[in-house]
Amino acid sequence: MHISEGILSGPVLLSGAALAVVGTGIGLKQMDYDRVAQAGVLSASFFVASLIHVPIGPSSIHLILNGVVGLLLGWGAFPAILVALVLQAILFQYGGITTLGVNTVLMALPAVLCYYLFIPMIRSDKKGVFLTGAFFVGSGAILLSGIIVALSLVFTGESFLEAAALVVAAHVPIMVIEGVITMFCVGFIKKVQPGLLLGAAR
Amino acid sequence: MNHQRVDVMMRYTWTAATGVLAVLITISVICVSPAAAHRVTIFAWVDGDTVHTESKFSGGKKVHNGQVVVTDLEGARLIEGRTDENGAYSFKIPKPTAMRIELIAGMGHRGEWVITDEEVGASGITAPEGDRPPGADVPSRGSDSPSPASALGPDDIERIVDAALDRKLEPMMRLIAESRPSGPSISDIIGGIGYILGIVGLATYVHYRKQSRDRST
Repeated sequence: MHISEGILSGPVLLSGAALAVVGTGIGLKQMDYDRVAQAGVLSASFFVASLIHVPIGPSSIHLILNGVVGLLLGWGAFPAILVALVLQAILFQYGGITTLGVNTVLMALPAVLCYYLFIPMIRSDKKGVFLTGAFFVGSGAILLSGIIVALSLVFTGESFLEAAALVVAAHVPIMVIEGVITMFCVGFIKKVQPGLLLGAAR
Repeated sequence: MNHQRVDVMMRYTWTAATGVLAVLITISVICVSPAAAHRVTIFAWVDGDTVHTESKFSGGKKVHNGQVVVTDLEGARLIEGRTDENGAYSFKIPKPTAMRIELIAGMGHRGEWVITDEEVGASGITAPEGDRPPGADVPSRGSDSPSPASALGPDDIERIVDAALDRKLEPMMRLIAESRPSGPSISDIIGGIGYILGIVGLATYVHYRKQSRDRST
């Protein structure tokens, strides 16, 4: 879901960059030292996830895993995703340096939103409830990312509904896969260390 | 005692997290050749008076029905079209000038290739047949000239050589188009992870430095 260089107009790039700076600032401020290593591992996971290609659907799509990153880091998703995106831009030529801000926002903001939307469900003790919540985190983050992509493409002349429908339709398989991955992650963390899910956004 | 328990659990979680990361890395490394997305490239070469282009996503998947826009270097639009099933799109050179060929593959994907003046010049389009005075080379052909070389002007020889070269080079250009790197290499992946570990290490360093300075004051 990386947007390449030379597509978006200046104002969109600038507002994306500004939002990314604010988000990263909040993330770094909230992240205490104990979470740095965790953020590093999640950042690395996000970094390699985009190499895992899913051969279904009309376009060329890959795992994103922003839901999991958001769930475990809260606002810390911003710095973690920013670091991974910088490296993807430099090493893989995914996205680009000028679109770094926009790309960070479009993947990290849904992560944070899903964290706040679904964390009450995740913290529930009922297995059905927290697993459902986990699925929504994984798939909802992708859905919201798709909507932000479409929003930023509106300013280049693509019609919003058309672009949104195209992006979201292309990512339906990924939404399902990431929903399931997030369910497994949450199920596992609940068993071994539920505390991880309590303190992300203090 | 409680502390110890947390410690053990922490270790367990970290082992698990590292395990998950290792699995991800393994899958991504295995998937590298036929995999990955989110970068799109277009490659174009001149063959006679035609430009062939080939477009693909990182990972080798061909771009179907991607929009190709050809402009000159000042940005004036010359021609546009769409890629076929094989990611290919060819067009006659509309104007003998350097061209920027832009591929817009939707959902924020974009690639670009520039054809220089020299390449277009080499294709012979700068001197199209029709523009030559028709009588120019007729007399020399008619007379029984002993040396054929003198019958052909330098322009003609250049044109013939260009045409022959284009024909010979075409398979090579195709090969180059096919063998463009189609995804990140393993060293890129490992390198990226290394950078992230480095950043974590740096944060650790800053943290402990601050801590020891706090302690000493």
